[in-house]
Amino acid sequence: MRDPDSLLGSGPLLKLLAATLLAVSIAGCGGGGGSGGSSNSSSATAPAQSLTSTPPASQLPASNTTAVTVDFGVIGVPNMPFVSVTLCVPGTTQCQTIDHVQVDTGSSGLRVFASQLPPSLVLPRQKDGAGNLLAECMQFFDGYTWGSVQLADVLIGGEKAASLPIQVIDPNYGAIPSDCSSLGASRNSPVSLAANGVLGIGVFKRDCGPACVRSAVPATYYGCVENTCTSIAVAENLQVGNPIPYFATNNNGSILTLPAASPSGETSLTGQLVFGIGTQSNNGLGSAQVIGLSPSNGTFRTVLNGTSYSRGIMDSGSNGLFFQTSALPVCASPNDLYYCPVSTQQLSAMIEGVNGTTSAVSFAVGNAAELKLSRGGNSVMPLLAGPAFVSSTIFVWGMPFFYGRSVYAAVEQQPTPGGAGPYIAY
Amino acid sequence: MRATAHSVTSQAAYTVHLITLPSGTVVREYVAGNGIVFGVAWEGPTLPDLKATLGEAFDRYVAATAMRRTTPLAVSNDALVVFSAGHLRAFAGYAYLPQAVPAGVDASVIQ
Repeated sequence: MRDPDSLLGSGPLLKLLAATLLAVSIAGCGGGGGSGGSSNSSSATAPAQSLTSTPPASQLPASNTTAVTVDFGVIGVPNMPFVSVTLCVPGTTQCQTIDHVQVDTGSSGLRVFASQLPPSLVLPRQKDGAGNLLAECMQFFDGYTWGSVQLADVLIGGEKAASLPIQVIDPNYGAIPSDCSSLGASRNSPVSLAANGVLGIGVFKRDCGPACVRSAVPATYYGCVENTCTSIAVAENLQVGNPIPYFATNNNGSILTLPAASPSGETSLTGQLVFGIGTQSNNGLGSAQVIGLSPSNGTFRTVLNGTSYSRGIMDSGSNGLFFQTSALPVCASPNDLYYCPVSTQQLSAMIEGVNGTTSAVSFAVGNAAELKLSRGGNSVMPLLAGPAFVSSTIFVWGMPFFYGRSVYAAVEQQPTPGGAGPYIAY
Repeated sequence: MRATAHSVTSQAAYTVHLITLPSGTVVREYVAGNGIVFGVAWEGPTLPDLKATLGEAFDRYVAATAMRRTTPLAVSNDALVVFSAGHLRAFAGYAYLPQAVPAGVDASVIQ
């Protein structure tokens, strides 16, 4: 790998792609204080946004819910759940609503694109105690986002997180540090992210957490002077935050509720994201099983056919169930991301929380190649599963798990009727 | 790669460099007798510097994942295999160059 002689000819570089992504048109927006009703379409691949002057939260319907859709989205990646999120300059009615923001229970914090905010929406920059302007390289398993940390009032449904640090993704902000771009592919445009943003509503209050407080961790937080950004340690309360624990009410967790989906797939479906656990008549824990998560990394154990996977992850940001098993054949390329059993297989796994709860889960795995070939236009594919690692540590409970369930995510340290987070329940 | 700890274990056909990053992520680099790094595996809170480890193959990794697919398998062909999964605070993955794996060594040692 370090020896160039060992390599085949260079593959296509991404520079061309980056140039293409920059061409995604920037919404031409008027002043944020203008009357509602002005709308614009940003491009064929990015759904239209509305530029509105949103009334203060107190005038919105008192509601702790918002609609979630699984649909074609920005580029047609199956099994991606989306919501609309409104950002406002803190304390004002200068706002922008962004649709098709991905709901991600595997991360914490809101990330939107600078290119989708009107120039008039000037958000305050987040600074640390030394006056450094903060920027972030956010790490996802499938790429990174880069941009500055800014403060916004974040409105979702009827809830508001006031003056919350968010990431404003912008590949043109400063110079992307090399330790950031050395992680993998960039997700600095709606097309490459396959969404107009990410709403991280996982079990942690902040994205990086204590590790980024203790020391300057490469490829996480930076302090920037003009175009130069340097890795720095950042206090937890300055880091990009999960909006949920910073709502005034219904702030101990969330419930992602999606209807059951036809095994052969559907073009789209609509569910709900409900805020709070046991705080209203519509968010009781009921008979849901509470699975305690590791307070340091949010994982739990999963056992399947005698194999133990120590890092179970409940992740609406993954589009299938992903685990390594020799019991299922991997599809031929180019579908080798997924399994291709001859017929749909019924499997049963045991989920084990750090609180000692054990829960049997049955699930089905279909032939991904057939599902994609025969139902190519479907955005909802509940039988998708695929391989992970030979080392058998990872079991990703992605979107197929969420169909037909209400999946609770309780935020760390927040009290609920099921005990304090972090936990998941279903 | 910046490390807080680094140890080396030698096998018959290759050497394993165990590196601990400042975040606590543990990285194992698999180095053949000819000095070529043919594989890398990681587990921990943050991702490793794959550009430093993969060299020129990094560009092919990036190109293969230009559009997001939200699946752990990033690329798998006869020149490069990359799996990456998890989330901040709990990542795991591995990458290897099938053509650079020493004769007689199974790629499944990379983990």
